[in-house]
Amino acid sequence: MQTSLRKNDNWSGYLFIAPSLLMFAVFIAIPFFYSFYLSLHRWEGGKLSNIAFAGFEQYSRALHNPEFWHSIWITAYYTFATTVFQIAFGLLLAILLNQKMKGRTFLRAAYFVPVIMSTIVVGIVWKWIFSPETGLLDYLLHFIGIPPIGWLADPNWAVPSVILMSIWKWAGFHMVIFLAALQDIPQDLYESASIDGSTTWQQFRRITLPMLSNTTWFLAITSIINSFQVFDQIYVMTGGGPLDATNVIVYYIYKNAFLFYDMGYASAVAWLLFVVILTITLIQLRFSRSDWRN
Amino acid sequence: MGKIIAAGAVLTLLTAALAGCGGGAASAPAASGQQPDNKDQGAKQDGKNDVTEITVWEMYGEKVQIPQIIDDFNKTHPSIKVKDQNFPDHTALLQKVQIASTSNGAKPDAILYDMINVPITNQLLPLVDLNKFIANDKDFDINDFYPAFREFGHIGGKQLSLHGYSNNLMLFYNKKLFKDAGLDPEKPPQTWDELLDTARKLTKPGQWGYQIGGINDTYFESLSWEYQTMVWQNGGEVWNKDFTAPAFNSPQGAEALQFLTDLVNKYKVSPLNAPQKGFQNGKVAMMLDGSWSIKDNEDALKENLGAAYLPKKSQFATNVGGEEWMLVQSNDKKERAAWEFMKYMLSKDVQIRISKLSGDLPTRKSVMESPEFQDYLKQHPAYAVSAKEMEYGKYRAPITQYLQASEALYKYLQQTVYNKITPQDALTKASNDITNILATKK
Repeated sequence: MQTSLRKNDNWSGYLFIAPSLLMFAVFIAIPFFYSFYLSLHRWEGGKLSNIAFAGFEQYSRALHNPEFWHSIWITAYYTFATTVFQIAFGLLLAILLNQKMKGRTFLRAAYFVPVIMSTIVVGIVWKWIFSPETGLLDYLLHFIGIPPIGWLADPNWAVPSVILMSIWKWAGFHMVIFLAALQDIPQDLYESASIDGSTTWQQFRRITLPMLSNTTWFLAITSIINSFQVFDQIYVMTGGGPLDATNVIVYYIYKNAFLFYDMGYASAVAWLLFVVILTITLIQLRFSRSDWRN
Repeated sequence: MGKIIAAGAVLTLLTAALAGCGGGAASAPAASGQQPDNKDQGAKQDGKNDVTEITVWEMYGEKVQIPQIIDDFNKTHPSIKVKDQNFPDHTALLQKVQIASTSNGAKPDAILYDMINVPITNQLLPLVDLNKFIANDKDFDINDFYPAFREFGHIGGKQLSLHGYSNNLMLFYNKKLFKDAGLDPEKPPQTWDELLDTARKLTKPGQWGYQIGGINDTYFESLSWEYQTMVWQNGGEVWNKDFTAPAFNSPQGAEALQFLTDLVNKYKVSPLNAPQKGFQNGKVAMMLDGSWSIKDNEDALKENLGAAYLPKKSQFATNVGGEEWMLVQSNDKKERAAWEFMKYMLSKDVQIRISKLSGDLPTRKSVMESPEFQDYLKQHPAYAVSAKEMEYGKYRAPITQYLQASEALYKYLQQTVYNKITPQDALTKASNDITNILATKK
């Protein structure tokens, strides 16, 4: 039985979260369900509202389309490479900048600045760095006698180039998270280990890594979820090419939705992407929980 | 008591947020180009009831002095008030048109954007048949427009749009690099054979002979419409007569694609990975690019900038781009006002003014041949070349699925250029894909 005081509390509580709930409803929940509705329809040309019910035809169309599968594959390749290297570099930077040294605050800030910069701006700058023959990288390579590489213009180098740019941009974020986690590890663990005669490497493997496992799982999961949805860099640097080498899934969705106005098809692809990311995340969570239990 | 104040504060914030969101979304595009004369509007509306207000959606903006031009119109036509809504590019404007066609929101009275969007716009918004004004307007001569520019907007017996400002594809070359290679800087190549010969003489380590702009552009339309010019130059056709089927899968089309890929792979005079701004930095001797690049190229190369028609195989041909004016149906009064505005934007002074600022060309013969514009062309020889090349201008298919078809063609052109498939294979596959695209949509 609620007293009127309690009821008052509830009432003002709801009011406080109302703006946030409204935002969530309008910008996330409603589009989420509406896009599923759209994915069950076919566009008949002309006005966007000119749609006809098509069941799961759009899903079938996507699953039978080689461009869709190529897109998933490219995105997966990009995601896993980026995640592994971002975490590795992040951890390396965190360990190095956890030591007492001069200028470590400056260095920590320096590595974090790319994280807060606009991806579009970073993309434009890196497009110049990657410019064939006249960009910064080819210019430096010229000095050590290596012929110019096409980078973003070469189908074999395009994805590695974007991966490189993404690592540069996000390693700082992983570094900051790892730094916090490293500082949470009790120092006496290391002290007692060195008294018992274990080397730095053994300490790293047996103390540091296990203590960081929750953080590592967290970073792996969020990095994969985000990398699977990469778009800004692709839009600015490669436009999906060359030869569809960087035709990541979100760029593919963008093309179909906003250049060709095939909203039904684009929505179906978006929902398939959601299923892919959800599946990977669930698998990761299962592994991380069993890891934690051990 | 505190809880009531808190609740009140939350309600206020909530209302403000909603108002901000709603207002913000609608006025965001307007904010980028809106004239700051809202006070003026209010006064006019209160005072005079016979001022017809019309809205124009365009993508030129400040750079081409559109707000000032519209201001001039408003001052000289006191019974009409034009409101300008500027968009950053064609894609953003088309998205707004799509939204306007499905919602009950504001519809524009006049639209200016990429000619390629005319067929789609015709499906989305009811466009005015300009013939009803043209027939009765004594001082408007539609035959003053070059044929290509009035034919494109002539759909289903109605004149749905008129080409306002035009551009085309042309050949740029570096006169200094010509001289350095012992070539006559006043004799650019005129045929495909001469082009290949010249390019070979101009290719050496650190320098490329001939860059095909579209190969290094991330936007699919670039290579697609450049290849189309080569099909025409070889005497072939890209589409059939009524644009219902692709026609480039022909001996002429295949020969054109073979030449294109040979330039890159066999003769190695065209780069796959061109340096950024290579032509302007003197690393590329000749370049296939659009007339909109004239100003930047003039600034970079100054008197060393040479310009020529795209070389022919059996005939000269170039692809025409540019912006079209369309009027949206509403009521008689607004349509008439919009027609007056459109005529003004197509008038000689305005066409010349816009041409000088945008790098586009006027679409009317009398304007192009006027002493004033001819004078300007004398000072900018590259523009003169582009202007004369207009007579060989052909236009792309005025169909709603053009962009999708173009992207499909581009995919296979790219694969050919990267040596993944043969030209014949590419054209067959592209032709099949495009036939499917045309079949699935209305």
